[in-house]
Amino acid sequence: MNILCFLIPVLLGSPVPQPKLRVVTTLGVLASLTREVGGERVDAEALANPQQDPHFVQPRPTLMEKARAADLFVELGMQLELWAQKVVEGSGNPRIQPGQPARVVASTGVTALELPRELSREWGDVHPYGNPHVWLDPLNTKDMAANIAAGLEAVDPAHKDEYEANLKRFQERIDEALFGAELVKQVGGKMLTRLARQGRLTEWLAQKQLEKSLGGWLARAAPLAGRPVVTYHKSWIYFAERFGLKLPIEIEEKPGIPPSARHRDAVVALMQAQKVHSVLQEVFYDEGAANYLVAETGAHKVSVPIDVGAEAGVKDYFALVDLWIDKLVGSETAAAPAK
Amino acid sequence: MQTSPRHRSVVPFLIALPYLSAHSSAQQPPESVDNAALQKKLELLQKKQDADLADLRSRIELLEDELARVRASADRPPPQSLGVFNPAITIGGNFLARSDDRPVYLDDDPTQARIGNRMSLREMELDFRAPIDPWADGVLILAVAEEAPDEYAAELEEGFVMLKKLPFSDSAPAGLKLQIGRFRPAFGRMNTLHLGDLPQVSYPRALQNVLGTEGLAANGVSGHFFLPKPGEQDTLQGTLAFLDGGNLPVAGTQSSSDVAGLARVAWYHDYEDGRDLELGTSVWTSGAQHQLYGLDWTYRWKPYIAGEWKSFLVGGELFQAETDDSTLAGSSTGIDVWAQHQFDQGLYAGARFDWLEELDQPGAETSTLGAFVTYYTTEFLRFRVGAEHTWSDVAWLDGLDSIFLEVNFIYGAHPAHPYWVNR
Repeated sequence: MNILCFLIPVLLGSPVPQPKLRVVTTLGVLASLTREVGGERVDAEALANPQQDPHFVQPRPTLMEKARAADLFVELGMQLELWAQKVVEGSGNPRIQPGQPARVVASTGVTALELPRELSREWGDVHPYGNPHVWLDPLNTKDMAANIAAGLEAVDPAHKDEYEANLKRFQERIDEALFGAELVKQVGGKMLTRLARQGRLTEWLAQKQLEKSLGGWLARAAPLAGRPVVTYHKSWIYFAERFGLKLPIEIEEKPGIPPSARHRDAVVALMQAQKVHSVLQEVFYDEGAANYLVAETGAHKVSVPIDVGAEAGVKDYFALVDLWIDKLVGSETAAAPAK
Repeated sequence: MQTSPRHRSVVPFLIALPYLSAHSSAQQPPESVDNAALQKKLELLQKKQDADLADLRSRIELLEDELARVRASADRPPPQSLGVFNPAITIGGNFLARSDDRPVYLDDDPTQARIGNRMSLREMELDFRAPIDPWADGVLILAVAEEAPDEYAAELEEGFVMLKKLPFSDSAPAGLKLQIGRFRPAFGRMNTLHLGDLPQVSYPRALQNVLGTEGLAANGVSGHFFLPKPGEQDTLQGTLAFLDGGNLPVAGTQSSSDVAGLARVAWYHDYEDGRDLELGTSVWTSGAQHQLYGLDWTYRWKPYIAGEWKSFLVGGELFQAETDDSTLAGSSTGIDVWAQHQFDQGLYAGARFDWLEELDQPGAETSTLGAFVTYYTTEFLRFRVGAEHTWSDVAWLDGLDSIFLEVNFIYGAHPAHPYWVNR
């Protein structure tokens, strides 16, 4: 069949279709970014199911077999997917071993938050290189996409210009989606990105009387600014940093440590004191503790995926951020907690 | 003194200046023209200023981006240190307290030390791992284990190099990985696991009967590779190994200088909703006198949503030994079946049944039924209680009741989760 696919275009005098680069990623969100940058030239597949906890994926032989055929392997890094190295080791694919050009760590160069000052298992399942949920801030995906583009260019230098153009287009789309097309046109994406990263965007827009030009996700997420939200795990720090939420406490007592009854009651007391509207957690966590908090406080439970492909409509990164904002704003603007 | 090129270009201009000045004052333009010129000049100045500002802004942007990168790298732990090439070290400890209704002996051998009704730090295991070079990784696992009550001895559990690609071709045909040294060969599923990774407090009796109380570890060379897969969600893996013979029950009186061969084929199938199935078949042979055949299966359900809170595993192994050795039964069959259900994030319960024909006591059969409850505080600390009842044609074993408390702890580098377990 493969020979026929090659021969028929040759006989008809049409250009021979070039085989696509096989890119294997750990997470669906990385596959989505790879498709944005690689376009038609790549065939990207994620190993983790988008509904499952990315910390705990079984390095099954079927995943190793997929990695065996990869031209490029993309992982997030920061010790989120410790299972990825087991998959790579089992794949027997020399191209994607650590340090090879075909092994991309997408979080390289992204500023990490919550870097632990002290490393000890006493603090739970801490990540020594900082909180790894970097893709929950849309601005970080611009750097992640740049790392993926560099990886694609390394294994396929003939199409460097195409990857660069796709990367530029993706970064512009992120700017427009985050700040709104009108503001990006007036000020420029680079300037806005820098102001947002410095935490001076709101102040600067007020100085320049440009508040009304702000659109996109930031405008839609305006009701979230300053609102306290309880989350299950320390996954949402990057999202909170970008959209102005406050995260006063987690349901987990420490990362990876299930909540004790005493800790749950402390969370209830804090939620009542701070009038918390929303309990936010990823779909892969058990809902028992969140249901308890909701029953005790009357807050709303917001259960969302954090990976692309976890729900029918979430086909790319843009749809994923849309979902987070829609659900959280819906909860925050709904009736106040009854208790 | 030589005139520079720049000076040379200025000299004609200076000579012509008086003439140009006179010419200019002789033809004074009307006021409207003057305004237009000024306007033009202003526009030019404005454009220049805009260009200068844009240039400055881009320089600031570059500097700020550079500063952000420097800050980001300064926030991270230093990428290099003197110890960076040292292996990752993990330490595991396994403690067992047991109570039995009669004397119990080491290796089920009444001529050896009694191990019942006592507490024991069974072993402390030191695991060192590091890449050796672009071609190979190194693994060393040392155990300090209790050989007899209060008698500890250090032993090499595993020490091998894993070649990830072939030096002469710089590739890995069929995903070939070569394991060279001392390791736990891939005979069945449980034999590849270390004591602390087992789903019960001990290796299945059926396995102990033919491979030894702690399973088989041997010196040799083992190749692991992929075979053509039958479907998109399937994987076929093959293993071929040449090992030192002897040193395990099924080898009987053979010495380690007799080479043994091992082959295994395992089929894995992934279902869409977090279920998977593994079926494996293994053969070990040493000369014409000693053959061991095995079948193993593991079915797992671990849903993607809340999969860290609920799961179910069921598995088993079948062993068939054929020997022509006067010290052993000519033929011996053994089977174990086990299941485990997860009730909460750290709570599991399960059971195991073993039946076997005693290899070293022809005609004798033994069966054991056990149940256990396991609780993890985190993946690094595990408590397990269990109870077993044994029926046997071996007089001292028949009717044995035992209860166990096992504590397993791990510290050091973060261990990657083994393929089969839930945590």
